[in-house]
Amino acid sequence: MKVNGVLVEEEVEPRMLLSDFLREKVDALSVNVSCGVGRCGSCSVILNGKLVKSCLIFAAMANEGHIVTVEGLAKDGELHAIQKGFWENHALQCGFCTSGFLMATYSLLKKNLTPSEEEIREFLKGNLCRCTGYTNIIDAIKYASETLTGIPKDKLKEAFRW
Amino acid sequence: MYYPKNFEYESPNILKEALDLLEKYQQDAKVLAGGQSLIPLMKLRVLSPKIVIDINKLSELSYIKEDDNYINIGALTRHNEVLESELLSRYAKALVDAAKNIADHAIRNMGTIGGNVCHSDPAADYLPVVLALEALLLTISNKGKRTLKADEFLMGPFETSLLPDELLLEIKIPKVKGRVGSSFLKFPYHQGDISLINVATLVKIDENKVVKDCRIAVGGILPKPERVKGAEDVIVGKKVEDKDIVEASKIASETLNPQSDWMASSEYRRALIATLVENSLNLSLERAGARI
Ligand SMILES: Cc1cc2nc3c(=O)[nH]c(=O)nc-3n(C[C@H](O)[C@H](O)[C@H](O)COP(=O)(O)OP(=O)(O)OC[C@H]3O[C@@H](n4cnc5c(N)ncnc54)[C@H](O)[C@@H]3O)c2cc1C
Repeated sequence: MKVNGVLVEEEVEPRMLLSDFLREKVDALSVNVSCGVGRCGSCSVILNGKLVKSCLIFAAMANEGHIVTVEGLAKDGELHAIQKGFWENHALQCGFCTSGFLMATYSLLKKNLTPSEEEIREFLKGNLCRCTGYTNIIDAIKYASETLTGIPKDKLKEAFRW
Repeated sequence: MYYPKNFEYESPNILKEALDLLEKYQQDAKVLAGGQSLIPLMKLRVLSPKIVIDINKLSELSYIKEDDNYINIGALTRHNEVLESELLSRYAKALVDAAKNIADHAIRNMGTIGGNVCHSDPAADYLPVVLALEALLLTISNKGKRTLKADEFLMGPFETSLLPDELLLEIKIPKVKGRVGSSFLKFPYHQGDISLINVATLVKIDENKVVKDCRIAVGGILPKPERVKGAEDVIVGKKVEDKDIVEASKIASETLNPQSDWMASSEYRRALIATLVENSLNLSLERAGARI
């Protein structure tokens, strides 16, 4: 499979979960596992262009697929607009859920660059945060949406390159 | 961290290969579609199949098509594809309502309609819909195909009449011609979660707004979702007024005998049945054009 554009080849047990594969074999330590049953969203990654929960997928199911994690967001040492949004709006405290929120936001904004607050809340239903009370997370996403709306087309394409 | 017991993994590229594997391994094998119900159960070791047959490469099982009489949905069609389908929006709005209310965006990207129906959780959201829409389920094995009515397919909690060597191939939704409306409503344990009660209804009216057909199905009850004939009869054959709808929902909540469990008491579920049947009937009537 490819992870953030880099080819990865490993032989694993069929029961290895994609979340563990990414952490243990690829060193993608942004992928956090919390509930393990698909409820909390902290293990969210993008598989073949679609947001999924990596704790509920066997690594073997992603054979020959392309995965994007938070490690693939920043480019040339510069944070992605979504990451900046979270930074500027204090949209995290302990940070454990943050990777999942970043990937869910990426997936949302790629589909709909200017979501309403209601659409943001609906889309992020599957991501839980126990520190922030969500208000700053919503602000962060609006901030990212506004920043990205203002940039030139080729830059925007670059921001959603995956 | 929970981890499943180890198993052998097969991911056939064509349907025939999958059927051969099922024929060979029978009960020892489990089909893996979206994995959104199977993998949690394997992690908890409630299920520990020896062989897992991953059908995700069988893209020929993923489609939403129409012919003269049916909308045909491939078993591997994801929840998000159901909810985005214009064809289903036109002919089976209740199914789209149900898809919208399943879990969250990420689960809906993986979970499939076939997996949801085969898993047959008594509270699964497509189940009352396939009952109310009188869907047919098309199965396949090396011995041939079978077409089952939804109520013949659903046997009880986590049980279907699918044989060990069979795969669910397709869900067929009959097109009801004329002025028809259907809807689905649920009351979840919490947002994005399994239903305490879910309800699907379908209403067909004639040009004088007299109801010609009415179907009411209720899920979230044991052993499995049910149609409520007594309540349907109140609605059929007349130009429905509010009092009839209240009467039908009362009958539904009195006829059915919902269980008490750690999520809700039987009384609470009864009250939900009355409310959801009333609201769903109103919505279906509105969609059929009875309120214009
Ligand atoms: C956090 C969370 C929240 C959820 N919330 C809801 C909800 O609100 N409402 C709801 O209805 N569901 C909910 N679900 C369940 C979800 O809808 C599942 O996607 C669905 O029940 C199973 O579909 P799947 O494709 O993932 O099937 P799998 O998990 O792959 O399979 C489920 C079962 O069906 C069998 N199977 C699958 N496909 C076939 C086939 N074609 N032929 C024969 N057998 C087959 C498998 O062998 C297995 O026994 C939720 C799940 C999670 C994890």
